[in-house]
Amino acid sequence: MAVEQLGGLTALGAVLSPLDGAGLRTDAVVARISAAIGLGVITDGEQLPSEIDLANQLGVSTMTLREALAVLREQGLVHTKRGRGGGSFIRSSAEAVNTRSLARLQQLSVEELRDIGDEHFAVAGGAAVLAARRGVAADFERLRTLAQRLAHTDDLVHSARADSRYQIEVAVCSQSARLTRAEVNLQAELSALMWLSQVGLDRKERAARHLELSEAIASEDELAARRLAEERTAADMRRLIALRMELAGS
Amino acid sequence: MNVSDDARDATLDDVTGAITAMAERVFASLDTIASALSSLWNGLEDKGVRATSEDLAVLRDVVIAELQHQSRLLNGAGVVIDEDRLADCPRYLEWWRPDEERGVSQKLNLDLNPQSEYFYDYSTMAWFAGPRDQGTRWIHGPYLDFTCADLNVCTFALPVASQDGVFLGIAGADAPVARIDAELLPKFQASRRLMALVNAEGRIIVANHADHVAGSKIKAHNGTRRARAVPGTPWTLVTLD
Repeated sequence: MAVEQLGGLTALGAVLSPLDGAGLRTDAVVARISAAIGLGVITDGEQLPSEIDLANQLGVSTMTLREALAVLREQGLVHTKRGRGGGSFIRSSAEAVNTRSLARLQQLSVEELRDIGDEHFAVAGGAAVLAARRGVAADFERLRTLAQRLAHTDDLVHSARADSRYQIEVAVCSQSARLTRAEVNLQAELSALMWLSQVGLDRKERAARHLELSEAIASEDELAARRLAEERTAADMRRLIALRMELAGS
Repeated sequence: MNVSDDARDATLDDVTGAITAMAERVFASLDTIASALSSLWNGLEDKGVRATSEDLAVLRDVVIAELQHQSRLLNGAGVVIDEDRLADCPRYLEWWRPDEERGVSQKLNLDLNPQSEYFYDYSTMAWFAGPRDQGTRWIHGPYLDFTCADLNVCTFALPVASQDGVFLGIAGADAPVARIDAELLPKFQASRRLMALVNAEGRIIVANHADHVAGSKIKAHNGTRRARAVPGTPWTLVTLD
């Protein structure tokens, strides 16, 4: 099932699509798979495709994939069972995700974070304007439902998924496939960082903000939609940068 | 109404006729797929056997033949089965997409696990719920189907029932907006009129006016704009000149 399920998600599946360019392939594979776990494209307990299939899907050698899986095992995100019925399985415990994300945040420079934030500012703001301009009744209903769902999640892993799902759906409402892909990629990078326990996001407060944005979109108020999306991305990045600076002193 | 108005209406008739003909072609394909599903189902029922997902594999050839037949317009087609109809799995779809690179069709596999964040819950999607609840054929979209086709598409669907009238699921097909545009834009241009084809929610499917492109919204009944329903579809053709 795992192979099939991964194959079914295309824009999302981009998270697990062939890697391009050179660079540190193992790191890139680790980043992709942990992003897929973070977004909920692959879920807890799910079996990863066979090494050969997954290597093909990502466009890397089985050697590189094995190295990446070893790193993920070390980080507690994947565990491997041997023998019949064996394979690599996802373990997306809140603790493992938090440890891995904290390490990831420390790898990023303040300047890199600011730049990811700049991109998100542009993408989320643009998507919100276009969603307000182009959305229809069914879209507004979906956005409200997803915003409310965030308020009712019960752990950080699920909050992160519901939060990123909401932001991706705003991009979907913009009717732009490119903006949607950009938002998926940004969520892949940012979502698990934003929901680090140390960042201290409040799910109810955030759900209320998402509802406010949904209402602006539903009332076709392009200016308010842009402002709310831009303010949220700027505030998010400020929190992440503050935590990153704090970690540098510890 | 003067002569020139008559001539203008005749032009609009030509264009709506072409749009209806396009939709009817898709529904004819869906009829073929739906008949294949219902006769397969009835055959099993007559033998007293409850259908499984494996039984549906034989629909592949029918679906692929229709996809080849409509290769300029469709990029996916198949059947989507209502919940708990099959003996072996609660949710199932037999949906095929042509893969131009590999030259063979690929079966689409979606996340049908309700526990998953990206659970593809088709029972709540308009193209499935519409035909199920109203028993009529359906055209949904355009919408950005980012968990499935990753494109702006219109989904055409036809309800399928067993011999006892039990809803089994839908026969459906996806037509990317870009392909509908490729088929209809030349006809819009030939009409020498500015116009937009709009869905029931006011979203543009095809237009030949640079201010009104696919995906944007327009008010169909706005002042002096002439609008006419496109027979056989939930769509409206709006003039912009």
